[in-house]
Amino acid sequence: MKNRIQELRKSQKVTQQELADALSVTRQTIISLENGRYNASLTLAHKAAQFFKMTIEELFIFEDDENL
Amino acid sequence: MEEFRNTLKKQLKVYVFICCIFPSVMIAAKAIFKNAGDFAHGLVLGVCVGSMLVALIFLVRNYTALHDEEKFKKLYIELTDERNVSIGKETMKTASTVCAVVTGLASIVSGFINEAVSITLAANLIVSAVITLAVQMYYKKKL
Repeated sequence: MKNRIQELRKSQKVTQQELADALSVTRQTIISLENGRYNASLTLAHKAAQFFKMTIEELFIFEDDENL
Repeated sequence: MEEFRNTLKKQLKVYVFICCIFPSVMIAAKAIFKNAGDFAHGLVLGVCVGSMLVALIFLVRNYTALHDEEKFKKLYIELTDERNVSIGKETMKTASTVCAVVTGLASIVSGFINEAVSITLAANLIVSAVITLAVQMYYKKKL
């Protein structure tokens, strides 16, 4: 699963720490999410989507085998 | 957040209890088991002092967090961060598997050297397996 967190965060000029504080996670979690090393839980994905004012599907790009 | 605050308060009470009760445990052990060897008394002393120190560290951490909003939020994020929680779970899973394999191998090898050690290690392995099964059954019902 890929995501557009880094792209959107940079375009909105938000720092990793600011995003981490908004989502109540550590900065390391944001770094891991951006690098694709860690997949967010449904709750975190929901919070991140709310932060960027979009849907989960728009923020997270699901691979072929992750779809129905 | 409120639930987390209540958890910290509950933990604080447990840490205070440990800090208060363990000195009495040490004194009681010394008084009741007068004839026990130095090793047993040393073991009780070590476990009690170690537990008290750990409890004291967590007591200070929880107390400061409960009286300082900035530290409270920092602790909340540190302890509830889902990546940290996930790392903790994976660590426990891997570590317990490695421990089981190492204990099993050690039990086999020690069988050639000392029977008592081998049986103790095997018993340890069996108890661990039983506890694992019991915990698994609990979570199968709970989740």
